Amino acid sequence: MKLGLQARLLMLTAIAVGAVALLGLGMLVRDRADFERRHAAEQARSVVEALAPSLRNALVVGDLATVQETFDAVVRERALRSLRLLETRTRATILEATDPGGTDADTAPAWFRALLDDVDVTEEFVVQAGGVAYGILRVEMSGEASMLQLWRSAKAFVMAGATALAGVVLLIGLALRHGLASLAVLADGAQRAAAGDLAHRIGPMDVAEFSAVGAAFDRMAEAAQLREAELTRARAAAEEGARTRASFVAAMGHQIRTPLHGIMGMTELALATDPSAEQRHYLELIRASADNLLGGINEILDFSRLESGKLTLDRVPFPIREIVDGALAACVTAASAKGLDLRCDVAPELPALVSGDPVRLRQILTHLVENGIRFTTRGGIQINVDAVPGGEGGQLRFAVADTGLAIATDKLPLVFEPFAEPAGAVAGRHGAAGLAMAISHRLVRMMGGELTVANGRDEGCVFSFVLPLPAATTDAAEVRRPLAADPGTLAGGGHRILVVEDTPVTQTLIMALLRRRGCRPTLAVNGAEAVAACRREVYDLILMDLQMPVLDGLAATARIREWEGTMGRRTPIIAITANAFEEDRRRCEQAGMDDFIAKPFKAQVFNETLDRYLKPAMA
Amino acid sequence: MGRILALVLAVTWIAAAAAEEPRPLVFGVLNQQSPVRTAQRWNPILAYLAEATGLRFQLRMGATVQETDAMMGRGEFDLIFTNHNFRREHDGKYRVLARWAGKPIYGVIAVPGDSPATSLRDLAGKRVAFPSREAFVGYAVPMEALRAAGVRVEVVTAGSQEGALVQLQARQVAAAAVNSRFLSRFAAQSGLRYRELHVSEGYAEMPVVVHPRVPLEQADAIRRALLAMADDARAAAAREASGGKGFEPADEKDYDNVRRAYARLRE
Repeated sequence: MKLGLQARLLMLTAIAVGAVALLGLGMLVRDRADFERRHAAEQARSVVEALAPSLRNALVVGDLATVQETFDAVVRERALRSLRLLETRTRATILEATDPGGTDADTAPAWFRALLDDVDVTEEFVVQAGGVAYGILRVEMSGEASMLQLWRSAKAFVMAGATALAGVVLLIGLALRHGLASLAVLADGAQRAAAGDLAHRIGPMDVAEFSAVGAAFDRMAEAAQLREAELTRARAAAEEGARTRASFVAAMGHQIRTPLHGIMGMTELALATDPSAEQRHYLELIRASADNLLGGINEILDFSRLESGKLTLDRVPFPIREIVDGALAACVTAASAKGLDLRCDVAPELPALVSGDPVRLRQILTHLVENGIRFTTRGGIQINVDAVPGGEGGQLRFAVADTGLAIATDKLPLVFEPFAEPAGAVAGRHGAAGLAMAISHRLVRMMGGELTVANGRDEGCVFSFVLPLPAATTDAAEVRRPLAADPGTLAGGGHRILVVEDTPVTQTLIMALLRRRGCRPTLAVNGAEAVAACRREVYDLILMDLQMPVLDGLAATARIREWEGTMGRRTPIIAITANAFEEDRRRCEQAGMDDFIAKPFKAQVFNETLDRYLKPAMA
Repeated sequence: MGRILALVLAVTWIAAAAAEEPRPLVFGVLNQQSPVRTAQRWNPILAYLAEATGLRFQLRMGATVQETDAMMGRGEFDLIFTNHNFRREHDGKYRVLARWAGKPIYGVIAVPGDSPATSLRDLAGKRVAFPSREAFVGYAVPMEALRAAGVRVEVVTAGSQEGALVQLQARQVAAAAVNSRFLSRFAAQSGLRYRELHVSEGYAEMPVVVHPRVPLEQADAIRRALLAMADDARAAAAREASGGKGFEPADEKDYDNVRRAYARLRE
């Protein structure tokens, strides 16, 4: 049991005062007992001195009767225990007088007597005259009366001391309670401060010491309050800055993507017009530059979102093999252009479905493969995926190995540094904007792994990481599958397509692509026109921009779905927007859209997406 | 048979004890001083006698002169230092061994130096202090002189010779009867100025007398020791305690004037 401060102080005070009082009492009683012993001895000596002359005379003449009378009188008057006359040689009692004793039944207890030793006094005197001993006078003084008096005094002292001690403890207890109440005030103030109430003040208190502590506490709370206000202002400013930066980045992304979309799209259209060899060369350069620019923009946007903490991860079931295949498929064109092989080895014992973020995993693998392609001139890139032996919770190990340039050992740690431009071979392994490796590194870390790089045994590099991707259930409804990579046969012949787009360049590009597929596009320049068109006509597909005047794409989709609900039909709606973030995709899904094409897009992606919703026209 | 055996054993034991511890000779002293003072004076002498004779002595005395005389009369003393044995009722029961060494003592009736009295007749009807009625030189002898002069006085018993002289010095009495030796010593110490109205004949110092039951050889040994006390080194403490030289030879005739005085006083 833990005692409080008040109880401890009271207990210690009681023990200390009690001990001192008992010690003092003990010393006092012993001193008094010594005094009584000395006094009794003096009494005995005085009796001897008073008796000796007459006793000598009586004994010389052998007058024992007179001696007996004298003894009786002296014992009675001087309160002696006994007077004895002993034979000198044998010490046999010749005659004696004893006190019959008092009638007081009260006696001191044995332990008390033991503490004080014996206070009885015996004095002996040899009665002699002329060198002849006539007997031994033995005087016995009883210490019983003194002992009893001491015992009574001690009892009275203890009773009085106990009462005084109780009073002292009570007074100290009251004082402590009053003083310690200040501690409760301090504790309450500390708790309120800990709970965030920094405006609370202790204020002055009755006890000077506690009042000083309270004043110090108030000064501390005041300083903390000022610091918190400064921090709040700084945090608000930082958050505002972050919002501004995020908005700027988002706006920049949108503003750049839209004209880039026009450039890439028009380039695609121009290449499809059978240009001369020289023109095709120029157009190819434009397309490559645009691709490079787009990659750089995407990297900057992703890195910005990673840095601001706005990028969140999904945890959904997905087919691991399809994701790996998809990453390779995205790089097939680039690899083929350089004559490189892309190989993939996924361990057969891996589960078909794992739980994680398939989009980000594919992004990581794509970055690593693209990086390998970029710095490999012969040979190829190999992806290996297997389970970590003994790993718990579905630990999967990914390794992307290329046969390209090796990296100097001391430069390996710099591979994942953003915007770093180390000399030599490292420089080019950062991606379009020098961020691909940094983004991959951060994404792997977000997903619970660590991306590392090492030089291959003979050539090239090996990027590897381990991610916790536990086996998932096989509920098909939850499985997110990647976009179909199979371009298939162009579908859309005669399909009626409603294009909702306010940007003229994009309008031109989309309308041209649709016409090339044999579709019959209808244009609406904002959401309101789209809703009205849907009420007038039935379309096979709707391509919906998001940011538009009058009525944006999300609101228009909601109204169209509402109208279709009453009509008993559902038209596929595909978002086409420069808002390329994941949350934009989610917002589109929540609004009722079926798919998402991020601007700028390539014609191939555009066609692949439409193929999933348009059945080939019947001949 | 058993009882007889027990009796025999008891007698044997008592006899053995008696042989081991022979009864001490009881030595009485006439009450001239307090019992303590008497013991202080005589116990060293008895210790010397024991050492010198090989005998054991025990000092005894009565609380008063009369009591001591009665004890003497009952024959309780083997030896006694007294002259009351020369009274007619006790005379012949003890015989003289030796006497305290010293010149004869005289009975003196003294008056203050400026007293108008010039003869015993001037004391007629006056207050005269005596040590006690039991004193020989201090009472029996001077009373005999007053009776012979036909003078009757008012007897004041002062308890001791000193008391009698203190009363004389304080003019509480007209005269005081004391022995000559004490008078001269007191006057030297206190500055008392006196005149002697009467001086008796000289009387020998008191003797040590012995009871006839004491064997002669023991009595002789005691006498020799008493007479040797003046010179025996073993008696130094006794001489110092008693303030005397010891004892001198004496016989019965030395005390005839004492017997006569007692006889006249009795008449």
